[in-house]
Amino acid sequence: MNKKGAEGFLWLKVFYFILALIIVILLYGFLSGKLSSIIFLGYASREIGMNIDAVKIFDDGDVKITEEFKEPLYLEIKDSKVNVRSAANNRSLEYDFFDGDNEVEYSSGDKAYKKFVIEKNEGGVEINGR
Amino acid sequence: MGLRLMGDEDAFQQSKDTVSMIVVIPVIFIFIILTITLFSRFAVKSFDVREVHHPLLMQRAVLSSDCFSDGNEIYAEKFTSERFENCLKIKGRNIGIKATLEYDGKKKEIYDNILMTNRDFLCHGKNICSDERYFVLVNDNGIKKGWINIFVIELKNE
Repeated sequence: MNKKGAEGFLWLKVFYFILALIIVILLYGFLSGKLSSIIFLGYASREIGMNIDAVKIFDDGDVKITEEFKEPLYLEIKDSKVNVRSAANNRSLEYDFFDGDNEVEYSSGDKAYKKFVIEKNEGGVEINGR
Repeated sequence: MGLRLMGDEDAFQQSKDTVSMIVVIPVIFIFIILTITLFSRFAVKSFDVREVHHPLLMQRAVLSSDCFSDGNEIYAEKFTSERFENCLKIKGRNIGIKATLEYDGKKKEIYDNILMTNRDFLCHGKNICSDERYFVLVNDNGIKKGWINIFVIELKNE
């Protein structure tokens, strides 16, 4: 191999290294972003689902649960399912809870909230975003 | 040092590198896609909170006025499968709950999701079963001491 060939070979190795570095950084950034978002949404949906099941144990107004999350969320509850959607990246996740006679329905509409208050009133479970 | 043309060996080496690059680059991308897919699946699966969720269902069955109780005592006439199915709606899920009330020499068994009756043999692997026994006061023409046993079986969806 001549000098030009050796130089070309070296640059190719440098290119491989930079390419590998870029791939690792992008992959790490993507995975860490996606994972933390999934973990957060998974936590939020399960937490709200279990909060609803918990307040249903008690009589009207006995227990009021206030949940405050680190990010604002769109929340929709229908057909025994809690659907949370991140306001930051629009990802969403669903979790099932156990409804009863008075079915729980709620939608935060086009407003995302960080804080949700869940309590059982005469009409059933009431949820309010703040 | 004089210039030297690429020899057969070098040419062979270079063509080998090119061929390996053609193979390695798609392999890297396949690896990336696989990693992302697997990570996403496992991240969601690791949130299995069924073991935390079951005690809430049991407490609800025992204490909620939507089910059989007024928060203090269980009313024997409210202890029916129909009422149970309405207070804890299963809605086609792979879960079944059996409640057994024992008091004054009497024993009553009710079910929420009759399809899951006698499925105790499935309590292994990824299926989760919970069994709890609570001391209760039963109102059946007067207050009596009794026990309620709640058994929950939940099968893994996949």
